[in-house]
Amino acid sequence: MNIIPLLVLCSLALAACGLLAFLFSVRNRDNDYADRLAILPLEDDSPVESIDS
Amino acid sequence: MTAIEPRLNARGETRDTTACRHCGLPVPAGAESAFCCSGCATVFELIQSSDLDRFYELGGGRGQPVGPLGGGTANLEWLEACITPVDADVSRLEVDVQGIHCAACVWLLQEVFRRQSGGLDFDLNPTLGRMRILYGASFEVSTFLDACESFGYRVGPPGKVEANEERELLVRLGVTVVFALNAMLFSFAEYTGMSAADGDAYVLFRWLSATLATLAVAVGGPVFFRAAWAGVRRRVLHLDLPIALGIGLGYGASLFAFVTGLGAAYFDSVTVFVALMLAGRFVQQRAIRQNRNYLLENDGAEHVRVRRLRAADGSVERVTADEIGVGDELLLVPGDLVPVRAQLRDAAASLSLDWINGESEPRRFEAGDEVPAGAFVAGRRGVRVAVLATAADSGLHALLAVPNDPEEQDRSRFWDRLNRVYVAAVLGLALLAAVAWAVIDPSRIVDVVTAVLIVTCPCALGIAIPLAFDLAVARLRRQGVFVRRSSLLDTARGVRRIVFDKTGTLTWGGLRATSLRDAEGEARDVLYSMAQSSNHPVSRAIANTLEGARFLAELEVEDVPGSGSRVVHGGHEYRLGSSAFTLGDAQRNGESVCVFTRDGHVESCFSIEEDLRAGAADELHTLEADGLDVWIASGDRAAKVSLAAERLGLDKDRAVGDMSPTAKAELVERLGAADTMMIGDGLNDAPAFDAAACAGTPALDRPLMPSRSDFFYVGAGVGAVTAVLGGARRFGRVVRANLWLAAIYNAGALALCFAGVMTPLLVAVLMPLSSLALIANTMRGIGARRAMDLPR
Repeated sequence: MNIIPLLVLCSLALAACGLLAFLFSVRNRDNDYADRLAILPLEDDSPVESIDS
Repeated sequence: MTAIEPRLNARGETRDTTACRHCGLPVPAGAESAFCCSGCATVFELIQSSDLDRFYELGGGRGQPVGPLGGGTANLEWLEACITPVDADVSRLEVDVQGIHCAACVWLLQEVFRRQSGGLDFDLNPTLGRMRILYGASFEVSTFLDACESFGYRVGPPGKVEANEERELLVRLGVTVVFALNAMLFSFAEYTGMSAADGDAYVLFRWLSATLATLAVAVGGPVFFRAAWAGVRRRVLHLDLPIALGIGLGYGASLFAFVTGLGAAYFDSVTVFVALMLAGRFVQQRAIRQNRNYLLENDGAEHVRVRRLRAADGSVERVTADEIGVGDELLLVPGDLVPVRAQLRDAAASLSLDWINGESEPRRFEAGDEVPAGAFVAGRRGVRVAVLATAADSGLHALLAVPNDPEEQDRSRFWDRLNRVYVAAVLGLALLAAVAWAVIDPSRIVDVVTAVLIVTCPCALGIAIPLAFDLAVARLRRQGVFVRRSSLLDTARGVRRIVFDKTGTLTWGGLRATSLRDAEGEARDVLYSMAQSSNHPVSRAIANTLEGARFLAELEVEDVPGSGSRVVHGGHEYRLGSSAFTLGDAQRNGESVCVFTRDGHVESCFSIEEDLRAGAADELHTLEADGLDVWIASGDRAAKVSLAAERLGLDKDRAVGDMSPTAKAELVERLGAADTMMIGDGLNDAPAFDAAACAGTPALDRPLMPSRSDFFYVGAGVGAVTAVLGGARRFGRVVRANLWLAAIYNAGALALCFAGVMTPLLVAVLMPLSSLALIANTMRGIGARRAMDLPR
């Protein structure tokens, strides 16, 4: 049964890592920018014609 | 046009509707266009012509209702103050944007930015509605912002406050979820057979469960403890009280059991409960925050800017309303707000008072007349006024004051009653269990009471109802309705009467001319030139009907105040105006007919009517058919209100004109404020807004009214009222069903507790199951696309 404390430690360490990643994401305001992040893969770097406003 | 779900009225009749090609809202019955309003048509054409139709793909096939677009380009007087130079060639601009509602909006604005040369970086926070751009010397800022406004968005100085409370809540939620999942993990070992016989590992797991639960309560609990305590101090039974009670009693009882060894501890259930309650709170707060951030910040008098004429050299400087002094001379251009009490310097001017008293037609002021603060310049020429009082003394601050939005307004009597019953029931049942087991087996009192307190934790209140609220609010957003106060869906269920303002609410505030007899040839050009030369709204309405006519610049049109205009051309005298003026005949029906004559013979004739909002008559008819009392309360002349009621198919007895703001509020009180909804768009409606149970406004282009209302809406018609009532009814149905489901679950679980057979494992299974059942019921009731229906 000695392995149990080690496994517990590992699981808590993983949970702590997840928590840190979450806090990092909150700090970067990813939640505020969810709509913008959702379209990042669609962004096109090619030049475009000017728009007539 | 695309067919959409049929709309049903209370009698179950299907109303044929087609969807607007831009926003998907129903196109008003009888409309020939494929769009619900002119704004949607304009934006759709612009998106297509700019090759930006991917906007619709990203937005799920539809955009946001636009409504009428402003005629001019953006008013950017404030812009300079928002620009920060980064270096010699690079600047940064930070502005708020109104109308952002999804990823498609972000993409559209980003594309507009990208297509303009000189742009360096684009950053848009869609949750807050804040745009930051970095640009070089060749970038035309005003061109870019004009382009944004042409797509139906509005830009303004940054005034919104970032929601730190929401971020704090998100952090608390995330941390508590981590604790809850791990607490469940360690509890699971005990449920599957781990016991004291396992020695140190069992002790470790118990300690870990207790520690994680303590941390979860320490991190997540204060949100509810603080709010509940604040409510108790104000003698208000806030929704947070039963939740705080559930957390406190459940955790306290579990801790007692853990320390004394008497009975079972329910740490995993407590942590899951805290996490679920936080999730519910976050969802609810986010929904309201998103809706409030949809609009530009209500910045009161601070950003009202005007042109002041320098006495020394007559040049113009731009100043804020607060900088205006008595005796200053101001130059006001068409559309400007008169920020202070002033005296007209020019010979004559046309000013709109509809914001102040609801008058639909601009009023003519002569030189020397006093002009009230809050009027708008309605003519086509600028006017000069002399300041008689400062902004503070003119009542501008009072007019533009942002009302307090206390938390009390977000409560409803339904929840007050429910909270009272709930708190009393939980404490009573715990006491009853203690008494019963004191007789049966005193050694198990703690065990049973702990189980009772745990199973009665109000999951339905904390998670399923916020979820129902979020879904209902999201559904209303899709219909162009934005809920600002969380109490709306409760109060709207009790609405039995709707009082509409007329000008700007049921009408567009303008006039529509319908030709009864067309002028031809040169007479038509003369008519067009006369109509174009006048500032009168009737003339503008007539000019709008004369497509293709030529403007004869050489004509010298003479205005005859109060009657019309005349001109001599080619040896003929032309007159345009009332029948009394043109034909010497008595005016038949107020200003409903306008005649154009040549040498006393009728060349053309127009019926003049107020420009009703699209589908307004149909919507009002539906509301009446569903048993709601519909009233019109307007500051406009009684005859015009009566005429509008007739056109809308309403009983004239329920259309009251010549009403002051106070009289409107008194009418609402007299009819029964508790079950009255007020819909209006002007400051003259504000007292009635405060008096009514709930209020809504379509006035998004002017500050203040949205901040005083429970909801605001976009689009051309008044279908928002139907949508709100239907949404409130659906929400109420789901809430009642959830409460019943929760009651059934609690009754069963309490029976097990009283029988002494409840265990932590059973609670760990039953509580999530009951929550899932409630969530499923909520999704079924609101999440699914259903036909619109109304309260009966």
